Amino acid sequence: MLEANGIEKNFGGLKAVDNVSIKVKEGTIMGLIGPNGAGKTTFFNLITGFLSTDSGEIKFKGKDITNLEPHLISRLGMVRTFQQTRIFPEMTVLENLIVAPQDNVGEGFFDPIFYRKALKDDQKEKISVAVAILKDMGLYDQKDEYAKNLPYGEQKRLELMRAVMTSPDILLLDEPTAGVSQDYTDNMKSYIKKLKNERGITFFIIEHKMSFLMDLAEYLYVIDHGKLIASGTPKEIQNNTKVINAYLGTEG
Amino acid sequence: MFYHLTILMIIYSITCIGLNIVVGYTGFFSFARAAFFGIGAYTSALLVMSGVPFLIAIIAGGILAAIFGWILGLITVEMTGDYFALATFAFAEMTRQVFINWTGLTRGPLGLPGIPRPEIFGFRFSTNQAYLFLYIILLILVLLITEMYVKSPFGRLLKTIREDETAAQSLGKDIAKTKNIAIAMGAFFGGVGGALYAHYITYIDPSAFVLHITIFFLIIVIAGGMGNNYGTILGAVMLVLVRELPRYLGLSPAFAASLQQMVYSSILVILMLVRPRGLLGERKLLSEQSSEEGGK
Ligand SMILES: Nc1ncnc2c1ncn2[C@@H]1O[C@H](COP(=O)(O)OP(=O)(O)O)[C@@H](O)[C@H]1O
Ligand SMILES: [Mg+2]
Repeated sequence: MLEANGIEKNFGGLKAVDNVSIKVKEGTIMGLIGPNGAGKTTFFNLITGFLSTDSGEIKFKGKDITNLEPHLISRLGMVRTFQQTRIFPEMTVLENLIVAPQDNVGEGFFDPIFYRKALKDDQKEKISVAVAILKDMGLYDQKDEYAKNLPYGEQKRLELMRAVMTSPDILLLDEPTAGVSQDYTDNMKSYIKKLKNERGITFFIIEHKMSFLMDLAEYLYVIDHGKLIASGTPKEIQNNTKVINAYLGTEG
Repeated sequence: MFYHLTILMIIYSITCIGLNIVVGYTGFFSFARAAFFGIGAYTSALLVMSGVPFLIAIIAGGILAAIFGWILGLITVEMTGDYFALATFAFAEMTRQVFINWTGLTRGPLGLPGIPRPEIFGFRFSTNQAYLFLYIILLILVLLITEMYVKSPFGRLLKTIREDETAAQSLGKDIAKTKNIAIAMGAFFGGVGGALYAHYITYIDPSAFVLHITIFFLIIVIAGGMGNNYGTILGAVMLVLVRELPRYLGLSPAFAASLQQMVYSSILVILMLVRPRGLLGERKLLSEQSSEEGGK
């Protein structure tokens, strides 16, 4: 469903992403791991259009999306979250969610005049969808709270829920559990599994912590210094000496 | 005096409700307000002077301002924060130069005297009471339209630009287009406000559209409440009082001017400390139960 070939990106003299190729199959959970500064976030920025590539080709659902504008890529059904969580702080939790759907009625200039009825009905429906998700995730009681007032872990969950509200085909998560407690981490893991099973969403997940993906992902890519150094099942990766060295090398 | 001050408050409210769309809801500090105000004022004045009916002329003033706003939006689409502010300031300065130098149209620094008072279907609004009545109705209209917009999904979309453009893009929102619409909408009400100003004061010249007036408008929005139209009206009421009252108290103009500056800055400093989002902050517009609010 998602395919990237020979992607490269330089920042000045630094090769942040160096000839990386990956494939994400529909209906799977795939992981992208690597030490800090390996180029993982940069790679996500490239496939989601937030950065332009220096070379390489990106295909999504058979369509060439290389260097397409980010909102257009999102509209094709590939939606991402951010390592540095990006919620809408001065909007309520519920607002954060109902602003997200891509088929919202009433976001065009003339809509509030010509589609008053359709707009109301659509909002009602979106609110009930959002409420269901909030109840599901145990965030319902905070629905009218400003998002900035949530604890960090809940902000991360909110960001994920907001992405889900866009009805994506594939979700790209950049370190969904960075800096959150073990409870949140477990909760996040079961939510991701649930989304995959119930909604058939495909996942491509960056994690710095290898353990998170070990029993979640079916297949892992490993990058270090911008280069793809290994790929395989979590078991294979766990025993790969190159990977172990890369992690030990930067951790020390 | 009561009528005069209230009419000014209404004119500035309409103008600043427009500015609030850009500054309060969309989150961009625009320094172009004086330009839109001026474009609306000149357009409407000149049209009415050449025989166009008042209502059509003020709308034309708003539309021309909106067109310039749209173009400004296209030019500044890639800019954020400071650069946007600078670009809008440059645009306002250029516009003012046009007012000064296109003497064939604007009579330059001599200004346009004798701008006709409003006339609708043969009724001439010549007394201040009649003015006030007409302008209140227009303010209510502007308020209703703007409230409808900011409460709609379109308004919520504007806020996502203020909150986090990148996140909004990641959700598939066309930020560039939405920002452009917001600027044009804000410019429209700025133009209408300028037109109403011209037909009330009955004389305009380029000195009415300087940076000073832009800052005056910005303070109204910031003090009253960013992202709250009622706050903007409150801001206009307060700032008109601060600006005009010293004149009625018989203070010397020089003293009154420095007193004004002091009061402006004090208002800003105190607000920044106590209520960073203005006297009336943004309201929570959405609740699950009253979900019909979303479409109002
Ligand atoms: N916009 C940028 N400009 C310059 N250098 C950058 C930029 N973004 C990332 N880098 C550099 O690229 C390298 C990879 O960063 P990143 O993709 O964030 O790594 P990771 O997500 O794997 O921790 C780092 O050395 C980082 O400093
Ligand atoms: Mg990263």
